[in-house]
Amino acid sequence: MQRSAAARGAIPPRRVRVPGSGRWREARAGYLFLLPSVVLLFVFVAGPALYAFYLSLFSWNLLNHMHFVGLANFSGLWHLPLFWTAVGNTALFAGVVVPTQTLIALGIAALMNQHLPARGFFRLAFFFPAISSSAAISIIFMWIYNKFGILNSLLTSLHLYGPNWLANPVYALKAIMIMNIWTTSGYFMVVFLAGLQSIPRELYEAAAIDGAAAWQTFRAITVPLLRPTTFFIVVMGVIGTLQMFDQSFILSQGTGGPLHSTTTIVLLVYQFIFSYGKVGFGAAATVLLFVFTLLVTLGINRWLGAATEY
Amino acid sequence: MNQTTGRRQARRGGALMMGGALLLVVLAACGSSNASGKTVTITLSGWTSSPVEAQLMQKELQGFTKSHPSIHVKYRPIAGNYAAVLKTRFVAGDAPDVIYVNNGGESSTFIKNGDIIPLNPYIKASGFQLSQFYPSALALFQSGGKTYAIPKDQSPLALFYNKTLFRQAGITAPPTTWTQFQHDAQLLTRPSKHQYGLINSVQEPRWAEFLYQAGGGVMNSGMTRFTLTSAASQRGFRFFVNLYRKGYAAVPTSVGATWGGQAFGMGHAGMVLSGDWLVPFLNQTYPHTSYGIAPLPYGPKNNVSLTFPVGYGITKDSAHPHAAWTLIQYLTSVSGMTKWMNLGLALPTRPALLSLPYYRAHPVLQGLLQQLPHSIAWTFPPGFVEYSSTTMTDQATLAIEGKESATQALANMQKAGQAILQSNS
Repeated sequence: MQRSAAARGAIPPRRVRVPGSGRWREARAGYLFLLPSVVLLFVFVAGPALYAFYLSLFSWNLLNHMHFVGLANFSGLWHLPLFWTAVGNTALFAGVVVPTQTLIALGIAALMNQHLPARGFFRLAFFFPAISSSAAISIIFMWIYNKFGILNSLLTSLHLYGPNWLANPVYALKAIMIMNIWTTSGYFMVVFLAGLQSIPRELYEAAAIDGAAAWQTFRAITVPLLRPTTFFIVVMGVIGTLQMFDQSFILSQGTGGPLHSTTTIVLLVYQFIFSYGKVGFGAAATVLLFVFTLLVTLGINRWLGAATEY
Repeated sequence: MNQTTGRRQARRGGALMMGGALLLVVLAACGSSNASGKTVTITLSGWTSSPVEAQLMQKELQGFTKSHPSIHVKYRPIAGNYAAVLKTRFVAGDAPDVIYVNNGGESSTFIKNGDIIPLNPYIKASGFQLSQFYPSALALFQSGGKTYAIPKDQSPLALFYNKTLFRQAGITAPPTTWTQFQHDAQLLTRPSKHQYGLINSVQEPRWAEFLYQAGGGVMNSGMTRFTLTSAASQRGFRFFVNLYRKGYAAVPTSVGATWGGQAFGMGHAGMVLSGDWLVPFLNQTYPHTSYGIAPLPYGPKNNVSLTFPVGYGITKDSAHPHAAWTLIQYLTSVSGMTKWMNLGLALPTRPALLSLPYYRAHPVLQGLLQQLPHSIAWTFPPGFVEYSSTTMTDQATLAIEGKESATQALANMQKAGQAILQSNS
């Protein structure tokens, strides 16, 4: 308080004498404004993240004294079949969900960008899942996927056999994939819509004059010029799916079952730390997930990172 | 004024517990800063099965405050994953003074880590009579000749049976032997109606009793060795697995339920193994299900069941262990436990309370009460939560689905269990 009052009083004469120092003062004010956010970021985001790296080198069950074990947690994870099950589930989940949701979002966005009747209603309908709580959606899908639920009733009326979706290890993860695609496609559709509207009209007009068909226009203009948007969507999709936790947690009632078929890396991290008293293992898995996510993101950056220009 | 803000802040801290442990430390510091002066403030935390239970607890604590005006008790029930939240509070240095100590390996872990303190000096000084408790319930909270918690209540698993389905199947009385049990289960099974003789999930506490009934067990009495592959244990496990293989028993998800009690309430199950907690659930959610409760049927050796005692313990960082002990003593005394039992949420850990008027007024509970003397407290050594909740469930699942023989499943469990014992020692 006192300091800033004194500083305020000192500003005018100095600014006149030393031109450079005024800029410094402005910068300092800027940093001061940033300070609360930076502090919060360090305390609640960067701090815990760094602490996870530190914890990955220790053996600790939350209640006892931690002791340093070096890289033992990493080698323990490496030889743990359950960890590889979780890695496999997570990779499969990301591998199926990201391409599917990106294609669906692009398709719907292209449709919604046309002058179709009731466009507003459909935009809202497709976007709606994105603003609903993931936990609430998961609980509703538990009823849909119930052995005698809505989905199986529908399938039965079509004379199809519906499996016990969430209790069958073959179908449980697929059921979560379907739910996840349904939830996130709408959000990415809106992002694609914004991307579509930023493509210059004249390119389409030029293409029309050259006699390009709708599909040719879409492939030669829309898709390439959407590249920055696609990049954003694929990266966000990959990061989101690699960190999938809540939907598995709720649909399997915290177990990652049946028979570990829905155990993702983050769910395993949660179980390690809070249920099994293996904080070091959980932290080590977090570190490995971080490295994996970073590598995949860098790979995507090389593939889609540069914008296309005409 | 200061006190009320402190309390309000601490309550808000409770809601944020999972989110910001750091914030919690700050808020909780405000909460406990009013311990100066004559009144001592202690915190009690436990889980609750329903908001009603929390209200009833609050009421019981008001009775305590009336008779002990110098001790103020803050009741902070933990919603959700109790063990996980409690651990974060220990880490944050903000553990409650008095906590519920759970069975199933949690008590042994807390004792081993020194998170709860030995109560012997307090027990001795106050002349508290441990001999008036069920030894099996008490043993769960004892180690090396010391007592770390006082059992507040318990419930054994007994056989709940659907009277309507029994009548339809022409069965007049609940089964008392394994042979009758299997036969009745067969009579009660109607797959076309999604109705099965027995519906239970296959987690360890739902099949371990069959091992005991055959004269075997999960571990030896000193909990130094697994005994899953003994001939008697194999016999018990095979009996359980065969009920599923023959189609007389099913898991809850196969009838669209999340747990056995729900399947029973929905009328899909002729029988279910459950504890006292199913009674209020059925009364509230499925009041039209007509049911009875019987002790478990006899196996080749006995009809032993598992019981799940919960204790009150004092945490190591408690600033007021004397006040905390006064509270525990009040709540687990004959009169305190009687009040708690009259709420009908659990069964007593004092044999003397079996003759309460409450049980004469609620004869349906007789089956559970009769089971009590024939039950073993469910527990594991420290470090077996993962093993008991995943390895054992997975192996039992593979066995009932026929993907693995019962013998092979037990052999796998034995091997994994021994490996953990070895690495822990």
